[in-house]
Amino acid sequence: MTISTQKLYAHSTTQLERSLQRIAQEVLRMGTLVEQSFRLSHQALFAQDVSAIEKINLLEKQIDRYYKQIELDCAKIITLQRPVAQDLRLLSAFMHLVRDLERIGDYAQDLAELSLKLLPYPPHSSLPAVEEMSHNAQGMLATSLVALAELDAEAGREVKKMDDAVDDAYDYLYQIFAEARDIQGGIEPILLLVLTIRHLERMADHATNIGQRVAYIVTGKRG
Amino acid sequence: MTILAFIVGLLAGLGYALIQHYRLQRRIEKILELLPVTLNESSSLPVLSRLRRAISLFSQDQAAIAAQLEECHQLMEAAPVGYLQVNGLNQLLQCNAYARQLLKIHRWQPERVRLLLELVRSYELDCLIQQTRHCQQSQVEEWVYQATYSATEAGEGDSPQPPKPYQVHLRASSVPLEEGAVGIFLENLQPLVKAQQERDRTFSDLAHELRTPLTSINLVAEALSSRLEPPEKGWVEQMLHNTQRLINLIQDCLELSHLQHNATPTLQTQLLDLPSLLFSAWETLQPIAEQKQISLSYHGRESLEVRGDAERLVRVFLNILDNSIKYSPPQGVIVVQVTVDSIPENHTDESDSWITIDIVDSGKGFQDQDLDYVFDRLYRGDPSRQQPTQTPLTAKPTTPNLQSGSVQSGSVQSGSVQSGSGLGLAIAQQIIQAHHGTIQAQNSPQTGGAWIQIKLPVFH
Repeated sequence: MTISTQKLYAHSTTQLERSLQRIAQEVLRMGTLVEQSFRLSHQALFAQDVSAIEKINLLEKQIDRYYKQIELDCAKIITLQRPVAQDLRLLSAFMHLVRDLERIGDYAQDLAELSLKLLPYPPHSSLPAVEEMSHNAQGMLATSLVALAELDAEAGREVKKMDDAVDDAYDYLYQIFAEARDIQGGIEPILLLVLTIRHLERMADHATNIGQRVAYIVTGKRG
Repeated sequence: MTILAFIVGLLAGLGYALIQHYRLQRRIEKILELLPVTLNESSSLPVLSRLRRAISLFSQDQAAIAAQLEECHQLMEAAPVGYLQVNGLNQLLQCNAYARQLLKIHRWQPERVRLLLELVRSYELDCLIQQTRHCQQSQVEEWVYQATYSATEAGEGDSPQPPKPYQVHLRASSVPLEEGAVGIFLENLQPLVKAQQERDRTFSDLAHELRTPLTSINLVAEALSSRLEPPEKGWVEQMLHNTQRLINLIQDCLELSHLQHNATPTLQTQLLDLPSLLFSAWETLQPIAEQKQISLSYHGRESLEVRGDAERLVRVFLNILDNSIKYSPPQGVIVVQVTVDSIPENHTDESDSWITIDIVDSGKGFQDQDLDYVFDRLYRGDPSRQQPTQTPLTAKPTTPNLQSGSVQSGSVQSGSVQSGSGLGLAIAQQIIQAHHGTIQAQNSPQTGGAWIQIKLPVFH
């Protein structure tokens, strides 16, 4: 079962099924934008790609538009077409899930701004660890989006496990930054890096939420 | 009496049966008429046999078509380009092996209809499909496809590997099909991009390697020329002149690859007055211009502020104006026009506006087939106008070397006395792009002269 094809066979579709499929497609489209945004923020942070920032700002506007549109559409379908059981769960999960996606997009934008401020400073020795943390968080987002496409409750729970790795990385890096001594030339780079890992950790959390919403769509239980 | 009744009844029954028989025959004939003419050759055979024959022919035909279709599918599957096909609802219907490998689609099963976005999370591809469907026209798009593997996609390994990002340069060409369906061909541009990078690297490595020996040859030649008497002195001077030209070429190569790799960050930007930059470039070129009695005609503001790298922008004007002088006939005029888009004279906020600089010479212009390539490095339009072959050693150096510091490229016009390095316009393009501007070459519709248009954003 997947979000688009649970009951859909090209010819025998009801209006509700068509609407659901359309919304599912919009959610996935928003997901790709958020993923792209995250990827660009990674480039801005670790490859000093300044042009990425401009692209992220453009993407962010689009993401916002999708977010509002999907929320409105979901509400409209719930009131007008009275879905039940899994369809209703799907719609209510979508409404929450786009919020999570939108937040990840926001954090990506913030990360890009942080990268701009980090630009003048020499790279910190822990930067590779931060980069791996970012890779992991991106992997979680990808996994949760696949779980959503496949409506795979198991994969949704998998994301939760991956979140532990990111949390550990956060604690570890936080300790390193907190214990930094003999800082020359101001503490701004440390502050910026702490903010960066904080953002990454939040992004990972939102990805986890998405995974759990998928499990909710399938099983009807909030874990 | 009974016999009569029996006979009447029999006749009535027979008549009825006959009528039924005819009706059935007519119906079968109607059915036969539905078949394509090729299968329905009229013959004297009974209609039922004809039907049977038609059906068997029909199923043979169908089997042949099915086999053909299967063959097409196999060909498509084995094609060395990627192919995707989506229907009007954006569901992925076809997807060959190459496309699966290129886009890393691991979860595709032909029997399950899925949304394309569920399998390939690429916004660019999605946009391309929508656009093709909307305009009903083929579109081509190039972009870098990036993907992050999810834990489930990454494969069989139990240990959760850190997700590896994947990226590939793609070119997609779309074809609109019936009922909103869209077919997409995918090409892998990665080898091309790699080859290009390698070419650039070789180019700059080579330039580096050549520079040192050339400089020492030049020094030796200089030392020699002061000690020699004619005619040997003349030979050495010619050698000097030519090594100097080579050194300039090498310098340009290095400059070009430097600009290509880290252009924007290395610019030393400041607020500059654009017209005075232009005039300072023109002053440098004055000696050559005077030789041909070429004049510059400037139209535009007295002063105009622009943020940029002074040295590099002067370089751009030098390269372009030098070309213009070279290809203008004697007593020609080079027209330079500077305009600023969409702001009133006294308006202070120029943040979103563009400065357009048009430089038009009075020569014969570029040849049409060269227009696309004038910014390519070392491109020369007409092969017959290529670098003139070296004059024999015994000849005396002719003209004094006025142009030694200048560079030209795009020697696509006629009448070159002394050819440049062929890198001038390429360098100009790199510099303008580093300033986030654009540069275009075309021919002036009025005079037919070469027309270079530069657009620069105004940053404040």
